[in-house]
Amino acid sequence: MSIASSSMATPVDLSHHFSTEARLRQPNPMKAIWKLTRRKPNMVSLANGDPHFSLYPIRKVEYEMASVAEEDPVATWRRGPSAPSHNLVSSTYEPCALPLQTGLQYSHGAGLPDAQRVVTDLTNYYHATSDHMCTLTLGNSDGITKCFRLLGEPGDHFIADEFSFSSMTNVPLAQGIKWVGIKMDDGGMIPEELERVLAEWDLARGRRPHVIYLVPCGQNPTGSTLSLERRKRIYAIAQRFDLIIIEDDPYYFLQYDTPDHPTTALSTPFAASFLSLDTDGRVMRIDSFSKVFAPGMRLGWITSNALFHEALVTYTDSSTMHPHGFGQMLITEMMAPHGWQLSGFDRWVRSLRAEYHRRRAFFLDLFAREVSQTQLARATVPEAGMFVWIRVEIEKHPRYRADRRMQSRDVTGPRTNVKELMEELFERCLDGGLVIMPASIFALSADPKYDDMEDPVEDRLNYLRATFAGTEEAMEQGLTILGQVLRDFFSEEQK
Amino acid sequence: MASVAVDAPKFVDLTHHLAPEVLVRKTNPLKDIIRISWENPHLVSLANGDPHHSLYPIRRVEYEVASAADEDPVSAWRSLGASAPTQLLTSSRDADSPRLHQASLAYGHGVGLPDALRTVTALNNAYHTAPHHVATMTLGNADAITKVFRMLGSAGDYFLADEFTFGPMPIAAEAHGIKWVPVRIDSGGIIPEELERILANWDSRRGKRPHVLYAVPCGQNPTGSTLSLERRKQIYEIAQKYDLIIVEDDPYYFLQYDPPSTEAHSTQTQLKPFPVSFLSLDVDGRVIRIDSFSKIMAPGLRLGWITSQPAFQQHLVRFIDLSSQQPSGFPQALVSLLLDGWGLAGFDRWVRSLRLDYQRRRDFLLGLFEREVAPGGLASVDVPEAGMFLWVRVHLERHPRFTRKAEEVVEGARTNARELMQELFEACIRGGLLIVPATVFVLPTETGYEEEGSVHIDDRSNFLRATFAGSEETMAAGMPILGKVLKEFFADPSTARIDATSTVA
Repeated sequence: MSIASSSMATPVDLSHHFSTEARLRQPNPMKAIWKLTRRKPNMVSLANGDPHFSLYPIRKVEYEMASVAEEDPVATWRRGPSAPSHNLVSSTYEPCALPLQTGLQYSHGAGLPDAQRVVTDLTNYYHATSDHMCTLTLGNSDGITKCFRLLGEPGDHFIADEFSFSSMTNVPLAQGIKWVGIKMDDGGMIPEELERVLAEWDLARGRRPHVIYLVPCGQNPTGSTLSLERRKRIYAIAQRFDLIIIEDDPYYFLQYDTPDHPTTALSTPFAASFLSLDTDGRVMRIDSFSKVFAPGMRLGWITSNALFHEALVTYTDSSTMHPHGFGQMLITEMMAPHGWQLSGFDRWVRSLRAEYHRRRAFFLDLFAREVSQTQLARATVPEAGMFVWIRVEIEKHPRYRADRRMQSRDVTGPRTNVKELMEELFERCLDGGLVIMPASIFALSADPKYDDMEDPVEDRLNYLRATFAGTEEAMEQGLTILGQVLRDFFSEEQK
Repeated sequence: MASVAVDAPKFVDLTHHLAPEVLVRKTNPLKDIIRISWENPHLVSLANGDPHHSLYPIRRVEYEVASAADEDPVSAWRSLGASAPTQLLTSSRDADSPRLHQASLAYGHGVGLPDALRTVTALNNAYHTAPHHVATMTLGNADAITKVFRMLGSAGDYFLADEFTFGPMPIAAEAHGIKWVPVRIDSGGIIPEELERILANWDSRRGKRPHVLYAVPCGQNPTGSTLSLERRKQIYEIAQKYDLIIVEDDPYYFLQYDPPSTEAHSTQTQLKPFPVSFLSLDVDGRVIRIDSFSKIMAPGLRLGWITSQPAFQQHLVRFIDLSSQQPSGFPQALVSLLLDGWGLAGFDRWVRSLRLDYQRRRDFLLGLFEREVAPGGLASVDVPEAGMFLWVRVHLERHPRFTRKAEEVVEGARTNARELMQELFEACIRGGLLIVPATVFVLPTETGYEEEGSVHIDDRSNFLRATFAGSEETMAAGMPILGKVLKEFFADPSTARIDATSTVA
């Protein structure tokens, strides 16, 4: 790591960022009672109605995991049933790091202490934290959703990339929160644009935005990764305008070298996160095991300042409750001396990175052969993540029009018919047997009353998002179809 | 779910109960496109960013569970300990059918893993009559209830609940502006006439009439009461008349007991049947039933399910897809493997056996109470028919410092019951016993709307809740402490009894 550990010398008071709901929320009274069990050494408790562990019909859980003994464990693991494995066990009767009787109980909203320690150790290993604390979640969707409820008031505006992961950006809309999209280039969010929007904010529109949502590595959908320079600039803007940064970083471990490299060197360092720059405590970093283990784990964590951690715990105790025991037991055994340990986890994620680097190369080669040579689309090379952002050269389409504003006399409407043409292209892909994500589902809509409508996002929807996370077969078939569909779509006569 | 019969009843359209948040909620647009993939498996997909299953570092998960072959499997499981017979349930990538393993570890649909849904639907069909309702997986009861409250309540809405209720649930709803109206209860739970009276006499200047009833019909927490079938029918009729949604929170459904006088060797077959749930009475589709595996398996599963009419499920799934997502694959795979491994008959043996175990615990605690506490005449207890708790009535009127305000005082509490109970609670802690005072369970309500002539809730808070879910050692240690603390508390020599007719300044 290149960033030295910093301490929050003068902790910034960020309590004014809480929503009304967060302020009104009372703690779960049963948790207060539960804490009293520790008041006296031999307190007899007839308080909590927790089923006794002797009544759990489960005695043992055994997870057969990949062995991480070798340097490139993912490559070994992919060999299939013959690959060596490593068993992790949580049991009532056998020795283990987290016995079943503890793992399957009701516990604290932050998660079991052992599991919390695991994610804290992981965070401290890869990032430079100061007074941050970890709270377990049920995955990124859960974590981010909770952050939105803690911070967002109806009428608030939140900031995100102009093309964003709409599974997340759709979440707070129902709460009455609106988005302001910031223009991007190949390197992600443009800091000057962010600054401009904040500096020129019209208060008639509502409170100035106080939350920014970012996916800094392998941004979804554009695949861009923010450079260290841009991260520092964005952090400085966040300090100047008092923003909370929600750092959604599911692809943190999937950061690649340039395509010239046959494979990412297993020793290449990972980029510095916003968390590592966070001297004020204004970053809420969202981590997940979904992409490095399996999505069905439904387990992740949030790293934040202590105040936000407390609020998250109170909220968790009044809603989803802590995550399931199995996942917590698994990661605890994994990090234990008899498990993978941190060094093994590190080998696994670096090896995974190499695997995705290979897939990216496979995809890009295919793309060059099947699509680029049509000259109707080109791919931006992602530095991280699982997606390629494909630019369709829509201006070359016979039915492309750039005179919509003159036709409609709407000075804030789209200038072109890119939106309609891309909808057609999406349908043509389906007809051709290919499902691919169109840019339109990721675009944040602007507010014509306030936003700069010089360059409406509707005119820039000529992109498709394709993944290299699937099988090689799917990539081969899919890109062949895409090449063909593009050729057919662009070759039609003018109607 | 069994396919809908031709003559399926039409559920009542209850969408007017949904909070604005629900109605404006857009779908998760990526899930819409992913659905195209699922529904058309012949299409090649470059859409989803799902890690390929060959990259999951988990090849196999094996659960060693209790055998349910015995007539009384819980007894066998507890008494034989490490040598109790077990069954191995496996979810594996390299098995003949890796489908469950892969599906459980992949991203899924908000409604839950199909195998888990099949399992809970089978349970619903075995224990309830609700062939046209549908199930949605949840992360347990707290998750289910708080999501349902968000979906039904706009800020300023009034919801109804027992006047003593499980605190965390109403408190969670208060954070987003929901207010609570308490319904009087007796030893049989909610008094239907009281419920009707509140609704019939509702003053609309106060706000919109309450439209949601939150009920824990079996082994109500904390009072231990169970609603009779008669009362359930009456309450359902009231719900129909006044257009209420009933949120049926039923974690203790399987923990139903006989009176202690029943013969000590009652067998499975002699146990009374499980009660008829509100779900089984739900012709309109106005019941949202909340079930959980927490009390019958283990709390750490964090798994349960909601049963509702299909129209409600659509909104619920949309909400799940834009928040917590479906539960973890591990517990979902486990319960589906468990039901396959045990069969419905084995599951039934397990829960009936569990019931007997809790009944023995209840009787053990009652026996201790009779020996250690009751003889002093300072506290008494009704026998709970279900659940995990004793609701102990403390005879505060016998306390030397118990005071009652003069009749002229009309606002607020008339006695110092609340203060005395706080003292008693602290005395218990000093004595080394943690027990929960009734005040923790008083439904948070607006002041100023108490009924004329009614006894203030604080004056009726002379109760303690004690659980029999813990170990026998804990119970055997706890009851004598309670007996001792009560004796010392009531013997309080510090002040002489204040004259009952004096006015408190």
